[in-house]
Amino acid sequence: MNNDVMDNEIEAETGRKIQLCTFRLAGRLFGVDILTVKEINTETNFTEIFHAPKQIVGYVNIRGQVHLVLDLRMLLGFTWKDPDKESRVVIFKQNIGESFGALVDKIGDIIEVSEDQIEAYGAQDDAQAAMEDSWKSRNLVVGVCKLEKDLLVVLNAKSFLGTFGQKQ
Amino acid sequence: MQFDEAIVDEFVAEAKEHMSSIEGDLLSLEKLSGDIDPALVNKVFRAIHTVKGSAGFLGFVKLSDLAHVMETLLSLIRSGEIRPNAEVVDPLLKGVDSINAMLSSINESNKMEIAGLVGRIEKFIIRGADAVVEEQPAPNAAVAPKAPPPTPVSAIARDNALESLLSQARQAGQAPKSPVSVSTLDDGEYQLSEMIMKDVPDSLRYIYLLRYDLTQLASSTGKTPNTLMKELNEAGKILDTNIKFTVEDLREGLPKKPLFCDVVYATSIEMDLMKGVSGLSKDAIVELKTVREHEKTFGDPRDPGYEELSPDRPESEELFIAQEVEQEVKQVTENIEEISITDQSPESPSGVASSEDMEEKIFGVSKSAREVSETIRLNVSVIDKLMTLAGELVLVRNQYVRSVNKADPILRAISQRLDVVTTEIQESIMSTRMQPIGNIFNKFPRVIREMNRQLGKKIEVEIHGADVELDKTILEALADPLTHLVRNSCDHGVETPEERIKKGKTETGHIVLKAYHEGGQINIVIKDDGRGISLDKVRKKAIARKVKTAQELDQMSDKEILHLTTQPGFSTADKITGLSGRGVGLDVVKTSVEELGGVFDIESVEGEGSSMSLRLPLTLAIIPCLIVQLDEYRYAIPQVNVEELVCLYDEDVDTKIEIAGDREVYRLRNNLLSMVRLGKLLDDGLRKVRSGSHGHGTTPGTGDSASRGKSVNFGVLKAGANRFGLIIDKIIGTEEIVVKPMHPAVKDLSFYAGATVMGDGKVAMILDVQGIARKAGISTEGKVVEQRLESAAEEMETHTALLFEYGPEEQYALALSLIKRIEKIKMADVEKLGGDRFITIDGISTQLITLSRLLNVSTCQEGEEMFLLLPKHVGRPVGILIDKLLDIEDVPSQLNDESYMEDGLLGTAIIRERLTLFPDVFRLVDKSENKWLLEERLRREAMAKGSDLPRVLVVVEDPYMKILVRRYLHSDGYEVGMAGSGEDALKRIGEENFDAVVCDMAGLGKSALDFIFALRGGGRHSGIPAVALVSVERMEAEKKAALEAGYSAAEIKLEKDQFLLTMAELLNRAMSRTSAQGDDNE
Repeated sequence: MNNDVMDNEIEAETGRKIQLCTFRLAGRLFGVDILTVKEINTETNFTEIFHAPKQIVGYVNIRGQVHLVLDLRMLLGFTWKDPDKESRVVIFKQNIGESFGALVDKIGDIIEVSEDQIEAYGAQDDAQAAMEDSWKSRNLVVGVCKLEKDLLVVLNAKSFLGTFGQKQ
Repeated sequence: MQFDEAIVDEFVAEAKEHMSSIEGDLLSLEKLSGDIDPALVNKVFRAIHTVKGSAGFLGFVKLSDLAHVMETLLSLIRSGEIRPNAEVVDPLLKGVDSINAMLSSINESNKMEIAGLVGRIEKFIIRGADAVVEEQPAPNAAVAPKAPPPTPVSAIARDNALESLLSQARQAGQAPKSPVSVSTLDDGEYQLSEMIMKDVPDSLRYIYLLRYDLTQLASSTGKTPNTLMKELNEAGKILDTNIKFTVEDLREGLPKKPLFCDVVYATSIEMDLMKGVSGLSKDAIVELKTVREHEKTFGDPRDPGYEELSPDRPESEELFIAQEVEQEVKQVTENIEEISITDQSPESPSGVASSEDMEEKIFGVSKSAREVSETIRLNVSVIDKLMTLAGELVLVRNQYVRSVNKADPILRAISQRLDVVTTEIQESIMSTRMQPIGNIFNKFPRVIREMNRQLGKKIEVEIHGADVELDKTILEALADPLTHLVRNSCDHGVETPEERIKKGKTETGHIVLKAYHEGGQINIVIKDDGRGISLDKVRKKAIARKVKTAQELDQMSDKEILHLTTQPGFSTADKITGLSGRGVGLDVVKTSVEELGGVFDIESVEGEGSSMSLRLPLTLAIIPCLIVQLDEYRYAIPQVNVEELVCLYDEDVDTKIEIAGDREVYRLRNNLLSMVRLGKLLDDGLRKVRSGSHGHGTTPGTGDSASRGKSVNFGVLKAGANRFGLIIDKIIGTEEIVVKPMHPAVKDLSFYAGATVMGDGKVAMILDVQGIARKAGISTEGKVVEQRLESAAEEMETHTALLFEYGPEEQYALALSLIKRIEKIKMADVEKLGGDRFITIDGISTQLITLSRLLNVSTCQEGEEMFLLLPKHVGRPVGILIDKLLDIEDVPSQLNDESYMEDGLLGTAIIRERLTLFPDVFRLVDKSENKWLLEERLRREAMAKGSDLPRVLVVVEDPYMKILVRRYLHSDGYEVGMAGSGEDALKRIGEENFDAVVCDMAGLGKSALDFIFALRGGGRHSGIPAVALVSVERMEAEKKAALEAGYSAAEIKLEKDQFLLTMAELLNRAMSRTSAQGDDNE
């Protein structure tokens, strides 16, 4: 797996430890609590749903079950990128939302951090400040975590489905 | 009280079932009033009784108390002491309601206040009790317990319950029985009625009393009482059971203390083996003997504590005496039996029999009065799971059938078998969820009864098709809408009895509830014979609420106006009653029906009544669909919405789809069909075709590709009453698909009814035809489109014209009335003559008119074969060269000659979105004449018109000269008359009018001179200008002679121009001399 992510694993510190499933979107590193993740699938054969909000990629069939796939790039404000062989769909558990997953560019490692390593979120990059502010306002971000070589933005999976005003 | 939740749930479920059947029965009782059907009363009684018992056992005190008073009242009814009229039945119904309420929140039931209701019921009891007579137990009737002195029921409820039960137990069975005192029962004697005894087959010789410790049983072997019963029944017959423990014990909870249960059991198994069979120790098994036997073997050591037989007992009776038991709580026994009855019924017939016998023993009711139903109660989640699995099976079946190698006969046979079995499984499972609509319908008599009371009306309800089955979820979703519709009918539809009589109707109004299958759908109709919906009121309300303008209303049909009532907030009720009229009803009904994929319709005749109908699909989960393709995605259209498929080929593709206003339409067998392009519909401006099949990110299938090709497919879809055509790329086929509902995040999208997984694993969207119709603006007002089209046609006068093309740019049109015919010609046959082209048609040389030569239009790349349009009414054989025939079309008569005009055009018009040129055929024909033809024509025309042209007499003998001179003169616009000699000439001049004379002196010689002498000699025409034509050789001499003789001029005979000049001069002079105006001869 990625060496840089490996390097980022941090020694356990005080505080409750949580494991994060990390992935890359538009080059940046994001992660969600692993307990929210049901599985990670390589399927990219999506069926578009016309007239659905643009954050929805469409439907995908996983073992006979129809899952809704969100475009996490669009959700966060990045531009569309065609899925390639590194793309993955992160499927979340039922309690996070019914039968849905998120499309990510590249999957990263599972890293373990301790809770107090996650700091409150503040705009990191001026260029993307507006976008990042909207993350905060939509409750998408739990916090950031400074890793050795990267900055990991921890996302709040529960908020994904709520972001375009649909009931869960 | 720590009762197992499962037991409580079971109780609640059962009790609810009992209650639901009671309601209908009470209403029937009320109706029958005078003729009580004892079976019916018993049924109700038993139901209440059972509920009471179980409730008491589980500690639901209030429930039990209420049930008890109801039961008491019912017994009075049964005995005939009280008549079940409305007054009496009412509190019973209220009691049912209360019990239902208690069952809904069973754990709070003890907090409910029932004293008022109880008191009401008691009043009847007390009244009735005064007339109580000692009852003769009849074989088929369970005898009512004698009413205890009227003390407040609640205080002695439990005791009464016990009392009644015990006394029943006493009296159950045959007539000649004397009551046994309670004390005797304390001792645990078992009285089994003769009937029961008779039923015991002789093969079951031994009768034992088995004492089980249920608690121990459960803890050591894990067996529940039910299992125990079951087991025992397999090897013999349980005749009676009895639980020994005090009431106090119950309150403290079941499982902690040993719970002893005595079972009277008949079997053929011998004592020694009984231990093994029953799992009990020797002490717990007691063999019972009949009385007679007992008498014989008095003092059997195996019966440690039995009592002497009561001497009162008649000997004919066979009684069984068992060991002592503590105070029996018969209720508990019944409860266990009740539970075991329901659990056992489908499993072991013998179990049913014995349980039924138990019931009989207690109630003494014969089997005939009871309903036996072979049912299993299942948790709905189990069925849901089965449904899902069936769906998955269908998918796998689809995949398998698709990929199996059909060539292999074995595999094919297997796949066919798999197909058949899967379909059957799917259908069977689907049917498990089907419930009769009667479940809803049967609630309505009560509803109507209430409303009758409240509104002071008389309404009867008629139910048809209560057996029609619907999927459970649909049924549940329908309950509210249907209730609302029925309320509406009662409240606003049916008039009061007085009104009805005034109107000449029957006093009692009728509401008919009808359900039936039709065309793969379920139809439900609620019809009343009330006052109907007033269209005027609707109109007024519509205007008042600014829903529609008066003009719009005028355009609407009656049906459409009726449908206005389904708008939110719409109600033509003048008063809002508590029941309806708030205007939140019909639109909710419509929405609910539509959400289920159905259609809601209203029909009404003012003064006569209204009819509301609902049409719903049968099932939800697996539906047959038409699979279509657009770009790379597939879509499923439920077959129930597909009426027919149409394919247009070639030219039809562009011509048959017309435009009306802003949308495309197609004329399907005289009906106008609005057309919708799926591609355009789905185009949301957001999504690009990412698969790359269109390369440059064009939005999906806008339909251009479809119509440029050679064929267009569309399906005629219908959604309720709306029909429209949906244009698609490609039709794949039909398939049965499993409907997966839309994900909550996208379920508001009206185009989709769900999604499905296709055989190849890809997800396909299921189109919601109703939603598409709505989004595309298709309404039932297709008529308006039709009208618009017609009126549009009427506005412009049209005539039929042929549309054709010559050059690549333009489109032409020519009225059919101007066309003689059209010939196909080979360009190879065309001959060129003097710059013009000719072709022989029917033996006649026909000149080709080339449009690009005469008009400012593009030239045509002429092919080998072209068309020749032969026009009518033209003077000479011509044909207009045409490249392509497009179509025949109605074109406006009024042409536009302002936008573009040219010599040779009549005008232009926009036809099929193209600027179309209308050639002026006559003008073109004229323009294509060569000069000679033109002159000839003009001359002839002049001759036809009259002698506007100067007439010249030519006196020539020489034939060649004749032609020459004539030609000369003609070319200058003279009329020519010929004379062969001087004498002829003279004659002719005298007879006809000539303006000038030309004489060939060179040829005539002397006679020319004679002629002129004669001419000049006198007469009218003596001054007529005359020209002599002289020869070149003797020019001077002849000229001199001519002039001297009297000729006005002399010219060399072959000098055309000079000659004509002279002629003109002469004639002008003559003209100016003869008439003041003087024609212009040129």
